[in-house]
Amino acid sequence: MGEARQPYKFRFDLLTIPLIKRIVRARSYHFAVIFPNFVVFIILLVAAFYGPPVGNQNIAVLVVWIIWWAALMLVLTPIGGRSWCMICPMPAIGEWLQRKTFTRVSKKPFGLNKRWPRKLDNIWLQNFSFLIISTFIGVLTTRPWATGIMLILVVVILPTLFHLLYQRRVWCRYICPVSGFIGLYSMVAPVELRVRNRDVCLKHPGNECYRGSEAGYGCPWYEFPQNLNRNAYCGLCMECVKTCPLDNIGLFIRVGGEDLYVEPWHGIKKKGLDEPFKAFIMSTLAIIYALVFTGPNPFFKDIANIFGGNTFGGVFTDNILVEALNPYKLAVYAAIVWSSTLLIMPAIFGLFVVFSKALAGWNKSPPYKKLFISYSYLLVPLSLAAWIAFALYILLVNGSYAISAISDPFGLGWDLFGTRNFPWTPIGTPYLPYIQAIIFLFGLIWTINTIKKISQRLFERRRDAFKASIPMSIFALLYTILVLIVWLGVV
Amino acid sequence: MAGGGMMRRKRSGVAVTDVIALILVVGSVLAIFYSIYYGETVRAELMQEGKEIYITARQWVFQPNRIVVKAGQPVTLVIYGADVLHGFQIEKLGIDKVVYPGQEIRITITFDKPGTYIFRCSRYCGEPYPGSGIGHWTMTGVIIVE
Repeated sequence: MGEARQPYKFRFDLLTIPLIKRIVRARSYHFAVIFPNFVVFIILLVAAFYGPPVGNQNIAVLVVWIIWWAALMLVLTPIGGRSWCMICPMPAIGEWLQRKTFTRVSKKPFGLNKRWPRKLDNIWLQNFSFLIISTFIGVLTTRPWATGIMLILVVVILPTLFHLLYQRRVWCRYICPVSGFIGLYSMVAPVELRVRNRDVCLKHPGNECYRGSEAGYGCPWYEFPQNLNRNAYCGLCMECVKTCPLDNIGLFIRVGGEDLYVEPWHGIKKKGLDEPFKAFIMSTLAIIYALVFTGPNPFFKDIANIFGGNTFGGVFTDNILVEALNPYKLAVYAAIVWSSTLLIMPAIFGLFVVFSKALAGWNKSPPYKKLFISYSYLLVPLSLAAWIAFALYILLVNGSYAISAISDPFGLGWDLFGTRNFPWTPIGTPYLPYIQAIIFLFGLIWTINTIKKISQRLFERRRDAFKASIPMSIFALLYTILVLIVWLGVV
Repeated sequence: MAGGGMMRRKRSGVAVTDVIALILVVGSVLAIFYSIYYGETVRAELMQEGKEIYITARQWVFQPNRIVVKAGQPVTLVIYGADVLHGFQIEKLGIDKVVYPGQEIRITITFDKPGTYIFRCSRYCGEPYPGSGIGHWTMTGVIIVE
């Protein structure tokens, strides 16, 4: 494996610009970028319980599930990497309490300060937490109170609890439902934080970037910057920029990069099955979400709505949307979500890996598990294209709901921005299928190029690499055809 | 020490930036809750004075959908249709009006007795998909007469 080389077509260190460097090195920087989102979160949390009770009029539902989700999939992650993690309010309360300060460096953290179990040094918990959210997605996106409960759990209670129990940001690194896929897709982003010269780090015994110093905290994400060779788990918090006494950390804009192909930490760590399964989850849910939220698919829409629409009329007269859980729908939809992501998609993918290994020569090929794990990263560009198509749809078709809701976030009859009566205005719907088709096509080309690069690293002989890449390219083609059918109803 | 660690501090050891941050965090939370309290107070005053209460009807909600009024005082409901055709019905009082898109209707009512009056949309205004549990059937609200 060519671990040491990082071929870039273009690379520029933003921290060579004095103003940017000065800003990110300021101790108040992190608070300054989180605080606006923290305020927005408080507004959304209150609006979820206090605002209009219907999803398409409630600002909490509209911002979380349309604006934020679209921003995450269209801009923040594919372009900014983990830029959302840098400004995310989820860990804010817990981290402020853990550090006992908003901006300073405290030596002794508040809380139990336990070590995170080594067995859980993977993203399996993130895989499961995202599946749990996805199981309830039909309710979360239509019932503001459900979004409110979710926000309380994932922004207040759980992150705070984990910050007080464990060291650093274990919530972000190991549990957060969205962190897993942000990490996965951030690997293709044109932004990366890396050490400028690894040899400088290797000769320097201080390790301030990991242990912390008076200038800042040790990496809250448990990353060791000198070993960073992928974006997956760098939260861009900029603590290492502050702590590095050698000024050896850079924040680069890049074209190229090898995040999808290299072993973590230059081979010190090995890829497990947790990231491949995150890729299976994301690629499968991109299709399920499309079936649930778009197009004429009454079965999926009905089954995802696990509350079944049976109201307790006359009992909760103030909130007639308090409804009865439908255990049958919950069981069926949960079975669809969990089995398709954890069994069916991996099994189909695994079958194509068998074809790939067989075609390249069973005995000449690397071990099956290595092929399975390495090739799973082809799903990153493939499923990202599907999610971009989904995000474009929800933003362009339903985004205008937010324009009216923002003028009266709490349903008090306000008209803050004069847009209270702004009508639902879908944008670009005649052109959307064509745009989506181009996105899918671009995703397929990008994926086939990724397959080629993965194969060249797995096989010594170019001919074997080419043969092995054929079944995986067919898999990518079939996936693209499937999303085309789901979205456009055409082959 | 690398840059960024130098903090201006008060004599007690608390950084000025921390004090500012605390004020911002607490202040913003209080401001949000106060704005709701203020909005509710203004709305209650308007209701007590028998002034107009503005309601927006849109798929599939009345905004606001919880109104508190005093018994024996006239109240004028100004209902604006924001999207499609809706209806405004208070079955207990035998009121049933059509709310056209882009137009508003005015209904002046005097509630004689304290109690709870449910209002709902009386013209089918759609639903996201059949059997969704949300839609025209859930477009309702309550007037609480004190």
